[in-house]
Amino acid sequence: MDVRAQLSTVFHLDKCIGCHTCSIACKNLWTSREGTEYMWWNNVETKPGTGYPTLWEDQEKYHGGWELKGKNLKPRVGRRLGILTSMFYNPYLPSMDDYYEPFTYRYDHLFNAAPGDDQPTARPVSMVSGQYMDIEAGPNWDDDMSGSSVYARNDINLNSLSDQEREWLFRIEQMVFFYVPRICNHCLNPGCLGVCPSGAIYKRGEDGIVLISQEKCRGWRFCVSGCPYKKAYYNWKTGKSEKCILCYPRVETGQAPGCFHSCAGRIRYIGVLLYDADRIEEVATAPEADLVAAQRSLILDPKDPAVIAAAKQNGITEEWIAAAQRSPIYRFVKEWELALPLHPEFRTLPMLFYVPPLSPMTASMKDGKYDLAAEFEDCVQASRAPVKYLASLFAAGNEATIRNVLGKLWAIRNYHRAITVGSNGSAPAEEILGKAGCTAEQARQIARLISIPRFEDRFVLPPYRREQAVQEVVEPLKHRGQTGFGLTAPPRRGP
Amino acid sequence: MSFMPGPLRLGRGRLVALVSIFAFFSAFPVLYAALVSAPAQAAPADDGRNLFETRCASCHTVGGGRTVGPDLKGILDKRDRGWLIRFISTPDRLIAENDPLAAQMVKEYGMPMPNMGLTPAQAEQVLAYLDGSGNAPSEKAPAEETAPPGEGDAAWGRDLFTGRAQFSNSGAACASCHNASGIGALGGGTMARDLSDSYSRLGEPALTSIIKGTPFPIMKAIYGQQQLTDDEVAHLVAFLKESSQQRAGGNSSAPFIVISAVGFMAILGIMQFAWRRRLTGVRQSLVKGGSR
Repeated sequence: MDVRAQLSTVFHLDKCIGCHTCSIACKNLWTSREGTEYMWWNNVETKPGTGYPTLWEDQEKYHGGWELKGKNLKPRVGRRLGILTSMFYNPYLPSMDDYYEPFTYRYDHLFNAAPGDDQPTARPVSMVSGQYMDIEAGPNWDDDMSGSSVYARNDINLNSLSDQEREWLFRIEQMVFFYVPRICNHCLNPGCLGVCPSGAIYKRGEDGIVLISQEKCRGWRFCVSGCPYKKAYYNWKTGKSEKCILCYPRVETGQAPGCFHSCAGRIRYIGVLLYDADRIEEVATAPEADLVAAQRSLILDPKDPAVIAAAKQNGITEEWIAAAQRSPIYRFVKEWELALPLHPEFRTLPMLFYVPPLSPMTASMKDGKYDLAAEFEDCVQASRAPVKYLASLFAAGNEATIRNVLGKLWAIRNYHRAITVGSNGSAPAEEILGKAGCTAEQARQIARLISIPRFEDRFVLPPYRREQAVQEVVEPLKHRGQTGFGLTAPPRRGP
Repeated sequence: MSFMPGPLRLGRGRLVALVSIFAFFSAFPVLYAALVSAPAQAAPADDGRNLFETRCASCHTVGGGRTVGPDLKGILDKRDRGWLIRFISTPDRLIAENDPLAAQMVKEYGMPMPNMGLTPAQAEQVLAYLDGSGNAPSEKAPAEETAPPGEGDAAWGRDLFTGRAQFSNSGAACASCHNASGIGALGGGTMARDLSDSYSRLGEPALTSIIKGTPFPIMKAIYGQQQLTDDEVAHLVAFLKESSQQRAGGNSSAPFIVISAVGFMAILGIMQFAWRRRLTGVRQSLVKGGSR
């Protein structure tokens, strides 16, 4: 057992209102520089929809992530020889059009326009060419466009539905959509890391944050192709790639990452998970339907004495183990089995988990009345967002996994409704809860963590003590005054 | 601070070294010129006759009639002596300066006289020889003229021109530098003049004399040690004769352009095939036929 710690996250999609506050916080913190205009380390997508960059989930096109060849994993971009031979012409890069052409507006014209008959307007200008442009796409261009024949209908997760189910999904009465905010998953088996020809990408030992060394990166851009989530971006100004850093400067000083801190819906949770690094390969090569369960089995119980002993042997401190024991992520993912990884079939073992959303019931007109599915048992099957669709997103097509999660969420909601306003179903709420595999005590804890969590319940950050940790490898007084802010070898590119 | 890089920290010794290296390379052209001109000055027996036979006789005769260039008999009566010396030693400069007489000659003989590397002093000696031979007119005409080679074979000449057949003294194939119509669609080199019209322009005797004597400096450098045989010259002349007749037929660069265009498209096609699975615009194809 090789116990490692991973700073891991959960997004509870039922609470996401699609306000993009997280994206703006991230943009203002990290990607407001020249060269990063088009980057959204954090973005929010509407599902069904095609996302950003367009159709990023379609690995037939983008060739990201890993595929199982026999018993081994192979990067879809190619093995070493394939990468070497296509190094000078990487054939699987999204074009600017697939992201979007970054733009701003001529705001100054509103104030400086010459007097005229018409009110001045702020026309859009391209941040690339500086010319006036017609905006044709943006990072959230398909926001709320559930019915869009262009964007929603081309969502590749709909491929799992039959034609009739698709048709049903796009009827105006049944229309449904939800939001999926995305940041880097800080995977256990990162696709970007696996294909980097320069060896510039690394996973930090203490917390598993995946970073691109700006000094080693040579701009081959294979991480852009290799990441199936398209969360590595190429900076044209520095000639190097960049990605979400999970705000490690904030995390190291005890603050939640910018997008977590600013989240208006309070959907985001962060905490430490302990996992067994010896079993990563075995888990990543599991059969597709078992991927979610296999990944869960990789996560270790931080209260198990054997795990604690092995963790200490690996240099994980008491404080980190204590943080792992209080981690909301462990409870969501392992204990309650409510949170699922996004597209586990990419086999990167993403460590950002989503609690899938409950959607309204499908309804039909019966005897001239609007008739909802009445019985609780029907709730999951009658969700407007089809189970098959959610399974394609969060469970590599395993519908049973989604049914379990949705059933539990419905049962908890039903239970709390029974407590506060009285039961309206035929069966007692406890009985339904029991069928969903949940105790009353668990239901209360889940409801509490979902609906009224305090700041310190959502963000359980371990103490990093970097200033102490660094003294183990370097003598601080010896290097005083030698290093400062910024790069030791700044990129020589651009004017 | 020993890691401070670069030219700002040049020590005195290094500066001296740099300056001397610079001086050496600046002096190089001067040294080179001196070395090259040395043999010319050292050449013995600079008498005019010798000079005329080695440098001038492949194009000019004295009383033998016009070949490539004019017959030089009585030239001193026709032209100003000073002008002649300038023209003999530096014809290229005079032509470049648009000297009216030189321009007229170029027009009349269809080619400029090459600079044969004669100094003004040597030009004087040549003139002295011409002056003398003018008084004694029975100087024999160039030997090549008097012993006409056998009839050339045009097909053999073409092979020699393109390099399919090798010259017996291993000279370079003409097509390396020259083009001529009738040697195939890709043509010959473009470094030197297109020889398609050389026969009609110069006539057989002049052409023969040029190929044999190779009076131009570059030709001399290439063929000086690897002279063509009389038979080979005859074959080449026969081929160039045929070539000048074909010349009326059509423009020889058209097939070249067609081949280039087809080849370019073929390479594009191969690349398109090799990278057929590359990622092309995803969003554009989705939106096509949409609102716009």
